[in-house]
Amino acid sequence: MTTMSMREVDGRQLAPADVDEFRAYVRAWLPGGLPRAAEATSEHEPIEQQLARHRVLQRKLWDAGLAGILYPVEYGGLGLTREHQRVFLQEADGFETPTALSVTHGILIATLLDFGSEEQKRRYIPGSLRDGDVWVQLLSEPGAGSDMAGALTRAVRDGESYVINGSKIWTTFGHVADFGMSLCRTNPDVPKHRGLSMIIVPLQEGPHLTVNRIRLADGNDDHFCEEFFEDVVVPVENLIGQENDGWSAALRLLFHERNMMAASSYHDSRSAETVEDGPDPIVTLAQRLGVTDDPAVRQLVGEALTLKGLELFTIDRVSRAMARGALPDTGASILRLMHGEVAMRRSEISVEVSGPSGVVWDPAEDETSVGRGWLGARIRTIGGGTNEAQRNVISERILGLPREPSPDKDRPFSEVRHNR
Amino acid sequence: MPFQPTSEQRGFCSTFDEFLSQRVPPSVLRELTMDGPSLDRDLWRQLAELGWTTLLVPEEKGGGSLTDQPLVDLALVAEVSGRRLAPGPFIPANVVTTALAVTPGNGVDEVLSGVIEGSLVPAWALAEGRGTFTPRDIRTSAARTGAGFVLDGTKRFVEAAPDADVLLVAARQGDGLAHFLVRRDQEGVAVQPQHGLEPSRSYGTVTLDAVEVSAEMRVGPATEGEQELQRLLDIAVALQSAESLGLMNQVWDFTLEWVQNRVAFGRVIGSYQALKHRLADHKLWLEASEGLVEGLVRALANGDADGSRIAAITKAHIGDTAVNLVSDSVQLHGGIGVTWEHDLHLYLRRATANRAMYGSPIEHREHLCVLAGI
Repeated sequence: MTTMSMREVDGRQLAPADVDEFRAYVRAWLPGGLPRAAEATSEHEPIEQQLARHRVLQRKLWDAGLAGILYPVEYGGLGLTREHQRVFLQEADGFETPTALSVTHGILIATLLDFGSEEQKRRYIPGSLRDGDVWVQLLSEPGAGSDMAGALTRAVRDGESYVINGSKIWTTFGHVADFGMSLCRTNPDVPKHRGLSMIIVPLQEGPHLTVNRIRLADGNDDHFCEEFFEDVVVPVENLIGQENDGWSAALRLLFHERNMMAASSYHDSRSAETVEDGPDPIVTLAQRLGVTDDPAVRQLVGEALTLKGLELFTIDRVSRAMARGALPDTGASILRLMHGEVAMRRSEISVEVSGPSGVVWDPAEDETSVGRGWLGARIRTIGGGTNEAQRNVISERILGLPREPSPDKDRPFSEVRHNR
Repeated sequence: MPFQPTSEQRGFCSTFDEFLSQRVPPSVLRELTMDGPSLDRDLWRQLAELGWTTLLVPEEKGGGSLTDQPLVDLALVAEVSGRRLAPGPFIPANVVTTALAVTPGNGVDEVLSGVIEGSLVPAWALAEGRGTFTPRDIRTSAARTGAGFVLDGTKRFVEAAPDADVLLVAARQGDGLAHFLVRRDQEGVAVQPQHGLEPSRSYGTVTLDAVEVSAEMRVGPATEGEQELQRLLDIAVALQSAESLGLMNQVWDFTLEWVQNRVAFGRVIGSYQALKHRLADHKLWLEASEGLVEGLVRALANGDADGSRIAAITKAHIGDTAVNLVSDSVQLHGGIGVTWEHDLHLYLRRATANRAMYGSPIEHREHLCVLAGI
């Protein structure tokens, strides 16, 4: 490794731009820079702890001139290409990367880069790439799930401020987030898509803002949150893009979310799901239970192995088709639907193969219990838009079949039926 | 269509597509169903002349491919075979040519040229008993004699057996497995034709009663016959999966058109969510099928170590998916879908036959367990 090829920008040393030199630099840096993935703590580590560790990893990337590969240098990134990102992720296979920040960098900050003002980009992007500020999307509401444009949270302009009232739900890691991007209704007297605005809301709890954890059916409360806004005041410069054009920003956000699912987003972390190593957990389960001689069990295990195998090939095919334009970017709905179906079925198979051990277990096995995992897996067919919403997208946007009738499309939002 | 074909590959495939569309349109396929299965030798020779069985054979042996990945070329042709429901033993013929191509010897070369020309029709005698395609279930024996081998056993569900001139027989030899080339008219060989769901492909039971074969007719590498058999089975699964993908693509195209034109209760039926959601599911499993065929063919073409595992995944998925997609397309067509006049039953026949042959999804799921070490 030579420092000759390092680039100096605003006093920062950035990784080389030449792809081969970039690879050599990454390869030389990684062993001393990031921990081995095997040394990482279990997946049941609380998010607060994981985030604290990942902020340190993110800072290490920043100090090494490796943070924000695809982000422009003026906003703290490296200004490099997807080829560099691919090289980094290849080399980082086997190392722990700051996955707790994947959504922030892959979806939220990416949307800010596309729609934010110059001032917003200079203020927020470097902070997240350097210190690991966590951002979350505030889209779903108790009264508007897959129908996101039915948002009821109001933002009322008051001089140089917005006053926000309402609630958001299904916010992943909302309790540890620094900033939220909130879809708010700024004009209820126009059709629903045309009266929304996207506004940056600092998520520090206080008398006007409450963040509650949601306890899911499996008993876990460490993932999703709901937020209540009571006269939260933010300055108008927190508006992203134009007032009442928030739907464009929301669509862009969903675009980045889909890209992330198709493993082609802006983040510097390597998702655990793209790494295939070790025996399949369902094979290990059948061995542990001593049921591998049962032909019916073997058929179920074979089905689970088939589903896992086809998922990787389908991601590969659909991502490539989207990249070359053979499928629209809504092609990611195919991947989301597949993931829901595959995860659900594999979880069902685990429970079925387990028999009584799936529903009754020793206290020591609590964290790894198949039964608890099954209740948790139910979210897979719902989160990110229900399987049914995905099927509508696939049939209408990809197959070109007629759209579902939408009586709320061209009428003022205040006049159409919606949840309270 | 899987992959991103080169213009040469596209041209080669469209030659077959046009030829088959004109020479054996669905109306002719329906007649075949009425007449009972027997191979149109003239058609088979014409297909052979166009290169139906040459792609996996190297140039010096009389074959030749379009690109440096012959299996990709052939998988694209297999997709057309599925779209047009090509009659005749496309899959076993290509398995036989690839097996013969790696075997030295003048006698074998002579048979290989005959198969490539289309003058000799080949069959691959593999399954036994209740119809398992698992190599370890093979009981047919090849006993060594002074001059060669003596074969004994019964092969069932042998595609093209009633029409075949030569048979490639998988048999147990000593501790291992090997293939032997047998002429249909040899003493001790008897073929009993079987009836089948799939009209354009004939099947038969082959009895081998003390059939003498010379040492030269032992086909394939001297050792590791079991690996060679698995290699041929993986190729057969790849071609069959590409064929099933082709028939799915064809049925998908006309079904999507149907639901956008057929009106019921004042709306096109494709506007009903009950149908849209099923079509969305089919689109998902169809994309998965395309991804698997591409992945499998690439893995086999590159000689990847996990080719057999991907073959098992592919067949376990496509075997069922093709039947589900075509069967549900019948449902989406309503009454017209169950008539003799409609083409759907021809596709349903081929999809169902393909699911059972070269290992059912049940056998392949079992194989996946074995490969996973349980």
